[in-house]
Amino acid sequence: MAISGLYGLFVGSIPGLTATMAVALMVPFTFYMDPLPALAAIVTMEAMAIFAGDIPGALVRIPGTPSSAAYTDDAYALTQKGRAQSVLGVCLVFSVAGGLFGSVVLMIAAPLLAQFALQFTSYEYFWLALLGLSCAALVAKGSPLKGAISLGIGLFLSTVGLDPVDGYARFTFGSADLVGGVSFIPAMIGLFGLSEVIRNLLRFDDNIQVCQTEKGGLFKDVFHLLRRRKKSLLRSAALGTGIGALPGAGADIAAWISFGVSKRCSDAPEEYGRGSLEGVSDATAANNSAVAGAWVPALVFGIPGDTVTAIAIGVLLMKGLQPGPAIFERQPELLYAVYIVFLLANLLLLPFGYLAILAGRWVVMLPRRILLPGILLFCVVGSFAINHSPFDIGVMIGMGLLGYYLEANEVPIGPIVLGLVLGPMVEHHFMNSLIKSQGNPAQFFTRPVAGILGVLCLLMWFYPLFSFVRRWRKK
Amino acid sequence: MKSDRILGTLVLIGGIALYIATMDFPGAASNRPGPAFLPRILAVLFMVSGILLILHPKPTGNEKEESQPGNRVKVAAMIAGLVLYSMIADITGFLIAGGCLTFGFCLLLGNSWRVSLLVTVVLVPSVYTIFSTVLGVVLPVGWLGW
Repeated sequence: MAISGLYGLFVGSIPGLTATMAVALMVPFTFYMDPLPALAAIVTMEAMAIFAGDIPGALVRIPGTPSSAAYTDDAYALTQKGRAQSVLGVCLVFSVAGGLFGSVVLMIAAPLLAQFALQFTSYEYFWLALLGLSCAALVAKGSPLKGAISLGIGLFLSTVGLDPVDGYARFTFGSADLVGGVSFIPAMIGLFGLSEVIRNLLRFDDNIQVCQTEKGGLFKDVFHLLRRRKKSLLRSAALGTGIGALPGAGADIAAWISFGVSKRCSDAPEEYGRGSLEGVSDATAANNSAVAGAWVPALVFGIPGDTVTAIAIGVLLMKGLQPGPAIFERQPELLYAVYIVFLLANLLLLPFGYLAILAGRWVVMLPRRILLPGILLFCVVGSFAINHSPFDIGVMIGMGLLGYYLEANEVPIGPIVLGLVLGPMVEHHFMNSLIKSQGNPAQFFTRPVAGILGVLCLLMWFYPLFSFVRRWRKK
Repeated sequence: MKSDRILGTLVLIGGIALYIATMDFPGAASNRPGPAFLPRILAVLFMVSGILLILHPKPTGNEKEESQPGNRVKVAAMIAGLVLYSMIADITGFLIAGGCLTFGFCLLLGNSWRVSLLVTVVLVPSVYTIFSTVLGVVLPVGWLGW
């Protein structure tokens, strides 16, 4: 657990390497392990990697994993205000709290939650993904119109490649590299990382450091925030666990939705996108709790909640174990051991994460003329690492320039990432639902959960209109 | 306000271009819209958003943001370096292509050639070892790789 934890921290903090990739690289080592140590290594590695993604996001504005993208702008804005330690301390403790909450839910409600998640059909998934997209309007800083343009760009990029139903090649311009679509990781690195390098270069003054760090401990804001935001923490962790339990959803979607809900419920929504510690704490709790949530359908029904659990199921099958309802009767000791492993992994995150933050702190102290070449090299290697394709470096360059231009015009870039993540899911489930319903849109509201999610979505869209009319009537 | 109008015009043109590009796509089937469905919705969204931005531009805080003189040339040089890297890395390998990129970028940032060389010699092989040897990520081997 300790070795895989360190490995998870290391991989998670390197932009371009995801938790999924880290688990995939680990599979050969699990050949030589018993089932339980193999699962323990995977669980610990994933929990650490999801948290570690926050570190480069906060320090250099490149999210280490896609799960940290939702609140990278806020974390980085706080770092620029000299509060790098505070934000990383909050990320660490709220990640641990979220992870522990998810573990407890996994222990208590695994069968119940899995049953609920299994009732989801394409109708429910369509509304859930649309709800996630609608959160972009809540998450976006500044003008909602510019937020919508940004979301539109992300959705457009997600349509590049083969269409999900007919397999028709859209906007590929005859390029084989584009048939598979625009790769998400190089796009994210370009949008967040390269655009920041360009901005730094344009305003370059080699006498100043990236930022100053504040005096005081890592946890100086944590306990105050924990006391003040107990309910928000519970809400975010519950949201994260629930979303994580849905097959195909994951920690990144959990973070976006939790960030959006947090903004809607906050007394200071104007701070979101500009350095909100509340937003960061809620979203980071949600993404770590989603890690445990994803194991609910995996353990109970053998259906992976995300890509990491898909690999973990493969490892279990390789060991001759069949995850599913029968595992409760045949090998309950394995299940209980996994529960304990989750608790231990999240507790282990506290000292390991603390050390990782201390080690990472020197990054903000480096002069920019030394730091920027390192960031640029990581942007290049991170973009290349997923598909081993120089074309992805081109994607990263294009996205970097686009990100810089958009931000210079106060267009938020977060919704582009959300559009890229959720675009294929929305289109796929919409088309499947229409085919199932023979083109009857009323079917989207006939199932109870789909109806509730649909009404929630519509309320979210029309709420600003209602409040505008109400204000106008009062006047 | 001017930048909003330019952005609005670009978004409007993008929306029109997107709509035109979808006209060759196959049509809808009886029970579902075709592959043009989502792109056309997005094209309309872009056109409406572009028109709204042109008609109601807002002053942006970044319009007066100043960049240091000559720094745009540095950005252009960095982008050219990245493009060059993507073209030669498969042939020369990561160590040489990445080394040239890092060394050039260090010089561009005003480091002396000694510091640039030191940063390059420490950084590039370390990154290569971490990714290639420790993590098992394949980087272009080329002439000097291992």
